[in-house]
Amino acid sequence: MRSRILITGLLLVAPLARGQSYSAKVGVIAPLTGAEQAFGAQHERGYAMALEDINAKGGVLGKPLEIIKYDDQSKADVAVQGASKLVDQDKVPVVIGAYSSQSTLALVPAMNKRQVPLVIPTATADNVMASKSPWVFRVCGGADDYARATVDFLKTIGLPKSLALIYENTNFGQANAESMRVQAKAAKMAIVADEAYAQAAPSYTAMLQKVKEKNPEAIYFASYLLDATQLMKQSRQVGLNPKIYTSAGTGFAIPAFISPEKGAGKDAEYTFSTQQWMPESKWPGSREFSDRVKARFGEYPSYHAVQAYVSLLIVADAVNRAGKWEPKAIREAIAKVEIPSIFGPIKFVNQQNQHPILITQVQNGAFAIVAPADQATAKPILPTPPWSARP
Amino acid sequence: MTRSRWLPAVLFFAFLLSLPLWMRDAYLQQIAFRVVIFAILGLAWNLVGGYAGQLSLGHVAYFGVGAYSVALFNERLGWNPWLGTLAGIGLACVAALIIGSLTFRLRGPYFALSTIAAAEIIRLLALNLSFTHGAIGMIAPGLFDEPNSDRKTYLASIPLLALAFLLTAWTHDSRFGYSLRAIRENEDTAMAVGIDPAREKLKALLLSAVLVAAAGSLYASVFQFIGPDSVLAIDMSVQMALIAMLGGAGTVWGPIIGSVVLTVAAEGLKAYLERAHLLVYGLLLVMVVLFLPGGLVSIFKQRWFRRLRPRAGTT
Amino acid sequence: MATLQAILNGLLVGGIYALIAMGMALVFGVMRLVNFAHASFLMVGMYVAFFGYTLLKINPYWGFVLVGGALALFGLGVYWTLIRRVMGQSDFLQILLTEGISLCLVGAAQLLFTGDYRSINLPLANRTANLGPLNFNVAYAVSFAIAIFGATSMFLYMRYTEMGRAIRAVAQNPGVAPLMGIRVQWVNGISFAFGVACAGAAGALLLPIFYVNPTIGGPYNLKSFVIVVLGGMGSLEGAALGGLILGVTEGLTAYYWEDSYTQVVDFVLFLAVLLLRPQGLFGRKAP
Repeated sequence: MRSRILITGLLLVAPLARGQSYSAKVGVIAPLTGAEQAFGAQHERGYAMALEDINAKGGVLGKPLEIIKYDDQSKADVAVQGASKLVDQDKVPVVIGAYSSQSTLALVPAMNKRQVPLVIPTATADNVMASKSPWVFRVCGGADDYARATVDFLKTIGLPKSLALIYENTNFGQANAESMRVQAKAAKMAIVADEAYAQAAPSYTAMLQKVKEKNPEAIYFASYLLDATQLMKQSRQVGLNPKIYTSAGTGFAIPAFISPEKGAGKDAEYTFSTQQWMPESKWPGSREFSDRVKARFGEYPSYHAVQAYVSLLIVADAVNRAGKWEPKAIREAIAKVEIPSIFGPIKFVNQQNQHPILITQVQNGAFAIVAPADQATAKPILPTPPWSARP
Repeated sequence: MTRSRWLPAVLFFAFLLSLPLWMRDAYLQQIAFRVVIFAILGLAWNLVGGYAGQLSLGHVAYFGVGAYSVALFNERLGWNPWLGTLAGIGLACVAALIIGSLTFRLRGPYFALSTIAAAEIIRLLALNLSFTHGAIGMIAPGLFDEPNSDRKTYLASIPLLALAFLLTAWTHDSRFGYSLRAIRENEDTAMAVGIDPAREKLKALLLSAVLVAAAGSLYASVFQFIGPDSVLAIDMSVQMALIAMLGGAGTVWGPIIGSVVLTVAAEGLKAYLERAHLLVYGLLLVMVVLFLPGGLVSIFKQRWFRRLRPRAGTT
Repeated sequence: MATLQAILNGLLVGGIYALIAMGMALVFGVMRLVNFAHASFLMVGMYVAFFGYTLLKINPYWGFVLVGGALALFGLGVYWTLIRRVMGQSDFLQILLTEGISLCLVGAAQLLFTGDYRSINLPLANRTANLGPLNFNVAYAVSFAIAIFGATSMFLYMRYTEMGRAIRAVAQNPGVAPLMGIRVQWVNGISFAFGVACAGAAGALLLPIFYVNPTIGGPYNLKSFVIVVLGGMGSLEGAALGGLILGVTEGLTAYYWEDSYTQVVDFVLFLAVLLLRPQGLFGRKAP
């Protein structure tokens, strides 16, 4: 008798208890407005293409896939609010995002607390993975990969003896600078200048002047688009002439950087950058994807678009295999994902996808792949001519 | 406390405590939590801004000190967030003593500007020192080690609100409050009556800083990610002032009402006007200053008063 | 040598700071009002200049006059509808009102233009020139020249015109001025409009070398406070000089220490002045 009452009681209370019924949608957090809007736009295109392709093949679990987007306004604390809105209010069982290392870092504890899987498409700072949480997966390569790839490339052209680090002072910049410090030390490159700067400052000329006086043979930048543009224009003004400009992708790696209206235009020429993907890369389907995006949006995609595209494909694949819209099941399915893609073969080892890094150089107003050897489409142009000798 | 204050307070806190029993939605619980936090902040600011009449726009400094203390003491010394909070309160008191003794010498807009400067210096230090991890920010430990401990955290915030409320009520009716109001009306005249403005203002600031720092520590353990832009931004100082002003500066219930109205309205508007919330804040502030400088409480006060306590000579 | 370069860069930027701060100094000198919305008007000026260039091809280097004019009218409107009502009330309410106006402006900009950064690409902005061994950006130099021109015009106006004298009279003694037949309300309005116009024009000059987004005003507000206090609240010459001093100090800090510390130095300077010499360089009375 008592057990019957108990069971009935439990049955009555159960619906009131913390029973979550998740929605059949994927949550997405990206900077649709704000300083990182250009990258948010790339993400959006990637997600749009992925939705098309996924739904053309029948959607997820037999229904068309839907995503719920949240604009983090390029701010870390807004990204955290996104977690609350998407998970607590909209009840999504999986989230992809954010864009920047800063916003993603803020997002991780919020997602961990809610025990909902987070797929990171683009954040390169390695501290976003520091929590080693089973709920967090990263698709892109990290800052260490960038630094190592750059140093490996520099070794093939004659390792410079001195390096200057110039980086923006949020998570992305600091993390990439730290990775490069480690790699430079191992390769015995002397770091002659180490300058952190704040984004949205009117002038970097004082800092660039300082770097110029140290006479570095090479510079490694970690910058977003606005700062990358200013830095190259002001390097010209100051007459900063290292033999080689390298960078940790991002601002230096997107098509907008080369455009004269939105970027540095001809001042972008000769700069090297790490890239996670290029239209010319040898992964099957890259070229076609790139052309499709150009036809639809008028511009070739940057690797950020591809990362977003692939992330959504990964999630769709995982949900299909998990068989239900439930966080734990989806998490376990993501861990087991093994699919070929235009971003290379996807496989997570310890929550991290193993992804090789490309090096490109801006040649004649376009990106050309110069490393690694099996992906190269052009030879590097070196040394960089001094500004006075450039148009 | 007078009876007219005691009864509504008990009802109000009983209501707050009961919330987790019938409010199941995690999202709504979060909103309730934010209402409580901002009420605490509003009440704290009210002591200095409302009662003493000192327009401090740098209160976020103490919030940041509280938040960063939890994170730093945990990272460097392994302290749990409860101890970190105590440390934060202590540090905030030190900061209040320093900032107060420097800024209270100034009057009017100079005072307001100096409080902004003080808070900005702290923010810039947090931003530039590697000790605080700069712009990257820090991860603070959660108050309770379990996932999904939102309900417990919410309940933990209620005693702090009660403390803030009691402090305010006591201030309102005590000699201390009288001194503060005298200083607010005319500092020189207050001196003439034997009040030491410097001491009283500093006392108010210390009480205020304790509450704000505790709220900051709580915030850090809940959101777990803190950075110079989230816990030391000038926006939050303005928000504290707005909450108190909107509800009614210099009153006991004002900041609480202000927090309820503002937080709920902000959430409600967010769904439709995500990008317009600054504009709404601005309009609210302008309208309060121009048309309702006594705050929302001044509306309630009249009807309430008339209904419950008919004055002698009126029917 | 490098020091001279840093000083030159600092001076050029300081010219623009001076123009911005002079607007704030004027408003404070005449109305005893600290306009917390000052830099938000700067931001509005930048947007006006931006759209003036992208839609109407108006080059900000002469268009700044139009921008200044547009903002003067806007400022007059703001004064008449809002500011006028708190004149004579407590500092508390005045500050909160201007802060509220600031939030409205920023909020409206966010709503209308989103948080994206916009910039224009003037060929002039990319040109560098040389002054002996020192180099400088031509756009900065042009802005500096215009700012100095603007500042000088303001001085001359204040000194030699009827209205200028009226403004100075109200600044000196708002109680007695009406006895001299001066319509104080009008003077206040004109001064406020003038102040806002300065901010707007400076914004137009800033646009080619920088970019605009709704929150771009923030740091300039704080810098303006520092400059106005440094120069002495209400003193135009003080604000001009203060702007140059701040520019140079920031440039030297960026060079010798680190770029990110320039803001800290701003505030330390600010507190030092407030505590050690609150009347600033040319100010008349201590607070």
